[in-house]
Amino acid sequence: MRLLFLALLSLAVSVGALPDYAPRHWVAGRLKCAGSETMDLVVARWAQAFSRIHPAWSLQVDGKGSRVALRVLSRSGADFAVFSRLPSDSELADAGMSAARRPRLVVVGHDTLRFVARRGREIDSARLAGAFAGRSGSLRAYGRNLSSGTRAYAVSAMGGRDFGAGTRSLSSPSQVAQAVSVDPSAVGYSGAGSRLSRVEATGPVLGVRPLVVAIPAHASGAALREFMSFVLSRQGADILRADGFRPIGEDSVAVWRARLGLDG
Amino acid sequence: MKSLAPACARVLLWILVAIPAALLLARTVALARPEVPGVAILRDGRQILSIPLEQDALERESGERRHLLADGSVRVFAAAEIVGRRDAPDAWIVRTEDAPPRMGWIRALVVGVSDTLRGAELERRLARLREGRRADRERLVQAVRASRGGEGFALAMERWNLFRREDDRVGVLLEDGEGGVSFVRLSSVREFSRAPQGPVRYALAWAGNLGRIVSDTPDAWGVGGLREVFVATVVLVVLSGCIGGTLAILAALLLNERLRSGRWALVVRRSSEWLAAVPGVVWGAVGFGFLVSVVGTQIDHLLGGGLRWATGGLLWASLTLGILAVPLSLKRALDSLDAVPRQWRLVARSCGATRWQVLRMVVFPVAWPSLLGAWFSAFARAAGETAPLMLVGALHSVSGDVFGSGAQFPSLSGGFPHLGVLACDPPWPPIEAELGHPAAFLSLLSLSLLCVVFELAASMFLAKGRRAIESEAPA
Amino acid sequence: MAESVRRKVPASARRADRLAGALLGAGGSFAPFALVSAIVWLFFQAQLFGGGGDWNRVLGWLRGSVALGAGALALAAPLSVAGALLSRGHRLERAHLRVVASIPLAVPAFLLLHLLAPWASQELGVPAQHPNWAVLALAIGMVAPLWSILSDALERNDELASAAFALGATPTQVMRTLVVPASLPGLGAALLRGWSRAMGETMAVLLVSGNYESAWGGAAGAATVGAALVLDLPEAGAGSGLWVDLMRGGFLLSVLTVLGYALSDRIERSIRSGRAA
Repeated sequence: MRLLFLALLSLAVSVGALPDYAPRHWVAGRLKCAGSETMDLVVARWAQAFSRIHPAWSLQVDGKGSRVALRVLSRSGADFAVFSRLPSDSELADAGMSAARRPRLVVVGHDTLRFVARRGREIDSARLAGAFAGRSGSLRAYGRNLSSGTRAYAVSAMGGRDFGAGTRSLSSPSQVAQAVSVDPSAVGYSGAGSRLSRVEATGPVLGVRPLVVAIPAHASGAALREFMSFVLSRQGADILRADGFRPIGEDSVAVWRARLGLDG
Repeated sequence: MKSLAPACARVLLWILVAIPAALLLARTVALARPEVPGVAILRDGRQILSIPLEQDALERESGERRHLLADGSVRVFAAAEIVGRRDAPDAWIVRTEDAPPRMGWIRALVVGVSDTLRGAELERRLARLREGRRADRERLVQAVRASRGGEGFALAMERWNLFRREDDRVGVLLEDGEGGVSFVRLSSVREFSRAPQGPVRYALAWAGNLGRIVSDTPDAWGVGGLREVFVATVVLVVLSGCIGGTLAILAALLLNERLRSGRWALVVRRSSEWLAAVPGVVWGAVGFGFLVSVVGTQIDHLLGGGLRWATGGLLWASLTLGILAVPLSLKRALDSLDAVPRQWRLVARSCGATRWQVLRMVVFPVAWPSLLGAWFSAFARAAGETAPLMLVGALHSVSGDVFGSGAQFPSLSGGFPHLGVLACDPPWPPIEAELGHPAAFLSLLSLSLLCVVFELAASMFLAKGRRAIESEAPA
Repeated sequence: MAESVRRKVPASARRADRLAGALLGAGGSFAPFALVSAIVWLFFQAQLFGGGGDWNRVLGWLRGSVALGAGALALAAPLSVAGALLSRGHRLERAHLRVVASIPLAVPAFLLLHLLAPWASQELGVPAQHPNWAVLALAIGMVAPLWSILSDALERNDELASAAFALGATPTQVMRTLVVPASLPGLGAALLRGWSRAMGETMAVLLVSGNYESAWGGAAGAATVGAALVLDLPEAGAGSGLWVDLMRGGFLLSVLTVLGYALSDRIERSIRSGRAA
């Protein structure tokens, strides 16, 4: 009886867990990824872990911002792209992607975008919004540059009007973290990754944004498929979690794996 | 007495000018200081292994301090939380490729299913076993890469797979002093180190840290190394310098031979020299807008097979930097060729020498140091430019296998890491920032050294050339 | 060469000469051709007389670049002039200066960002990222190059000065009526050259300026033309308004820097030819 109970328990535990990555093909070659600076580190870590399993495979990561990535993907300048938000239909059309050539947008995790400031400073939401709207006060607003998906998300979360004059436009999340960590009157916005110990989240949550891997519609390489199989596995999820992001649950993983034909 | 004040002022200014360079050097070296793990005794009785990190002004005021903990995370402790500290001379710092740096006491080394080492025997064999594991791993990985796409690929992958599964179970059990035990795979460890005992070991460990950042490959977890970044930067500078320098010298020879006088000659010469003032960024914009977007796309269309040349890469970057470097190099080459007295050529020609013979036997023997100096000037100029590279192919993130499949050099069509770009736009994980940006500082220091070396080479040859011409050609 | 001589030159030498001439012609004309074509291409991309785009933005960026250069120079010039005046005749320091001048201008900016800005923003309440930091960084970086150029310029005046001393003039007389007026063109040339170079610097701006418009220039998102190019060009589609604006900014900035350099070159040449006379 106890044995049966234990067996059922272990079954329940394993059913509730993400699948382990099991390679179906051995792959080789070099893929190129374009995309979001927010996801930079995660993609690099995925690539490092994946290439331990497939040593003849490597990935070139070029993170110059989500908006550049869209353009690069539409010109077939990369094998896949990562975004820190869901590109809208109009953006896809702007980047030259007709309906037939839209990439498949696989949501692999979520990230909470928050205001950040030097630790120990609790700042209320009115002052935060004011700082980014350009109302001069004692706070200095540090944001990201135009091509950043994080910036686009933050702008829309703060009401849709672009940031006021006086908001700095730094070019990567690590620059924002650096500026906010040394300047006591600085506020910025950032996701969970690249958070320094001197920086802490403050004020209201700006939103929860999806972390997206975009695969071209007609992509057929075994290398990319195996890589996605790794990303949508327990190992891939662990790496997302290590950087502070929230991976998607087992159900969503199963759905995506089925859609992409990773297990069939 | 009267000349003392100006002399002092002169020396002061001299020192002032050197301060940025000295500061860069000093800070880089300071950041490589060996870390000494210790046990922090907390108010609530816990004893945790930690390394205290630098405080800034606000932290000094409030008494807070950041500590690097055993699992590689950084936590801020208030002044009141820590009541004491003691040494932990036998604690290890474990630097790996696929995890943040960790600390702890090694309780056991698991070598096989039933083979576990402890104590003195562990210490004795730890380093050797690690090297052996890494060597085996390297061997099998190379075999896979070499057979890539061929018949032996499947077999090599099977072998690698078997090794990997077994390798995943060989490692050390690291205990963090609070009862937590973690398993660290032996072949992933770059280095086991302990607090150095004695001043000599300390100095050696310090130097070793600097060397480690230079010679290790980068990784996406801890403070990896810069090896591929160095290689890529040097390759880029050498390629750009060769392209730019050679084109400039050819152009100078042409201008000196054919377009010596006349209106047209003056226009071409002046405009070629004045274009030295065009900012590097603008050349980068041209490289991006024309070479990458137009030429690269056309080439990809023609060659088919997808996307190789329509994104930035080593080829476009070196062409951009090469053209950027031409005006300065051209000016110096022209100056040196013009310094060769005209009579010599006239005399040689009237004796029956062809133009080529005049160049070979009259001009080059005297002007070669200056021409070489002009050639090196192209290298120096290329080394000093970082901004255009951000548009034509410098990567913003590095990890592990930077050049692809263990290649030693970057490929012409691929992106490449660059010391200057990485220093200004660091792609490293947060721990690098917590530790004070050692890799960024070292990147910038190395880039500066590269610039200085090439500039010195250019100056030396230019001066030598000036002396050669002056001595042979009394005015 | 004379016809009588030519007949004595062997055919193989003449062939080699023609080959060398052809190679030289092809290889040598490539660089000037590429340089000029690039600028022409840029001119056409800039569509200076076309409509579209946002001239306010372009002028903002240009204002930022110009102001950055001018500000950096205003801070660096006094130190450089003092240094050049005091170090006349000391060759060792010139070599030292050349070494320091070859260090990229990003170095002072990097040091300010990591070492000075944290401290200043915590003790003095100044922002950690501000265009004034970029001005300071460039000023620090320009002292050595300016000093170097000025030393070269001053060297030529020493002969005049020693001649005047030999004729019995006092140091003040020499300074006032000879050295200073003769040095002014050289100073002007050096300053123009320095301004040219400072206007084009980008990495320092990206590191510490925060890339936002300030009282003295810049447009939203970028303080100078260079910063705007690096930050926004990758995401601008070819031919779009942003692209045209960036190309305009790049072209006009180049016009300014080349004019500055050309002017300084003219001044230097006239100084040199004045001497020889």
